Amino acid sequence: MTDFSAIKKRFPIFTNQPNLVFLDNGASTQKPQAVIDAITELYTKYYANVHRGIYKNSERATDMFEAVRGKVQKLIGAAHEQEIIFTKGTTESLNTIAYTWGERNIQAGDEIVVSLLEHHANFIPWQQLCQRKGATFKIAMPEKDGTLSVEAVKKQLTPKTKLVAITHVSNVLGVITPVRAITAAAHKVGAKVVVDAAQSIAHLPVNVQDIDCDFLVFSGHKMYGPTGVGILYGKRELLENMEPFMFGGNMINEVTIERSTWAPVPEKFEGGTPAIAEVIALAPAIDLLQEVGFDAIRAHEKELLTYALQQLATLPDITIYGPQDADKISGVISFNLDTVHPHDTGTLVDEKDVAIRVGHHCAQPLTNFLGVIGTCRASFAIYNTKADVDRLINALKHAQKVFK
Amino acid sequence: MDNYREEIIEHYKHPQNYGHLSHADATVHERNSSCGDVIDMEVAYEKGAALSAEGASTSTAAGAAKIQNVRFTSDGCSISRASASMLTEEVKGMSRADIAKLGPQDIFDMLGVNIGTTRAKCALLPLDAMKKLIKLPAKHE
Repeated sequence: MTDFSAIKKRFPIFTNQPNLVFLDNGASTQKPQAVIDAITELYTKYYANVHRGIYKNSERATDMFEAVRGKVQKLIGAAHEQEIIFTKGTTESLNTIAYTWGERNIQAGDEIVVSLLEHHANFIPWQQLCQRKGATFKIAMPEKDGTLSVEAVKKQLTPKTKLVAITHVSNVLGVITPVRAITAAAHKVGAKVVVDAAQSIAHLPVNVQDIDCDFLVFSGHKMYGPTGVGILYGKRELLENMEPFMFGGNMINEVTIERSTWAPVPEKFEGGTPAIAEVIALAPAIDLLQEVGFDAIRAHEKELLTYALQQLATLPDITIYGPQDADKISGVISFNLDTVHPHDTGTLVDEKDVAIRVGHHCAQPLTNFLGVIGTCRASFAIYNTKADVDRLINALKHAQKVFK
Repeated sequence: MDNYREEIIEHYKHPQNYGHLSHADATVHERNSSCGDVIDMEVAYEKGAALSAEGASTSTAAGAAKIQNVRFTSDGCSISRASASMLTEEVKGMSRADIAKLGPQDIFDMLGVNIGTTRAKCALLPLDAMKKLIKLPAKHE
């Protein structure tokens, strides 16, 4: 049995703010001491730019930096280390695919399919790409409870479908999507598949070869790592045939007045000085996930989700969104108090030191589908406990009392 | 309870000037992009006021035009609705030029609470709408 209260002690914010109940992990997680130490250690003991200097510090920084590529490769089960590209986050990863692979491969009359569950970052790049190219932007609709079936995606697939972009877990409803089956169906019509794993990477095992997706993206800061670092995974043959989009240092092979040639992947897509400290400090975050293990992480999370769903349902005048089944969701529960605007709920629970997210969660097409301006979202991490759920419930009762 | 003194809750539950005017000189629709809250505001100026498209941005006769009545409808939180309720009370009889001078602090003073950065947007949505509204040309004259 994993001792999750011991894990909580590794996150110094909870020592400094012992009363804090942090339930906004879908937006960003807190950082363990090991991640903070890795940043400090680099800057205080061996900092230098990577891939540049022929001196000890630069070599050490480069080794530490490149070692993280291997760790990410193992975390997501990629076949090759070169398939891991460092970006500054999920948003940059998705836009990179749109501006490189998308610009080259999408033509007038083609079709791109996304689901209505998508975060704006996995929605707008494809909507805008379609508008630039005269392609058709198609939406796979979820069921009433927010679950997405492979049939709903299949319904949108045609021989013209060139790309399917799907989130692994909805950031509003926590719904887990059948990415493996969706990928198989998309490949049948010859489409490539992008999986947005921003919400799943710290919660569920993610294996790109098992899913067989062509691209997969996520951010470091939602998996206990630093902000400013994200991952773009792509199948090697795809990446090798893609043109770079960020020109500059580090990404070239040879530059003359007449022309330039590109470095091999992954450097081709890593123009400019990367987020060295952030990439290096991603390593202890990955170590933490692997030390605890996804079986224990998922079991702990399901226990919390089940308990939270039960407790929320005991409140009067509450609407809970999504399938309300811990087997079908990961990390996230959305709800509204019928008598309190979500913004007021957010402020009032904060008075009790409970941090939740309120609003449209950068997924307006989905909140429109739910028929609301916004929701309250409690999202969980490995340091949350049942006591946190109890504190949330009491804070919600406080909000209801104020607006009675 | 700092953000929720009784007056705010009272304005939220029973907002002043909520609804529509039978005769509006101008209307505006404003949205808080961070939370999705929306407000619609309409204004009627005092009879005989000189109105032009420059509205409040000039110190001329158009700027001197006084608000006879103002109404709003909104889908928003207690802070934004209470702010709209109080602001619409405050501006009646004021000139466009004077309204143009209102700033965020005037709203915070009106609400009488310490508003955090994130909720400031809620509190200021009605003022943003009001400032746009008074710059619009009157529909009839």
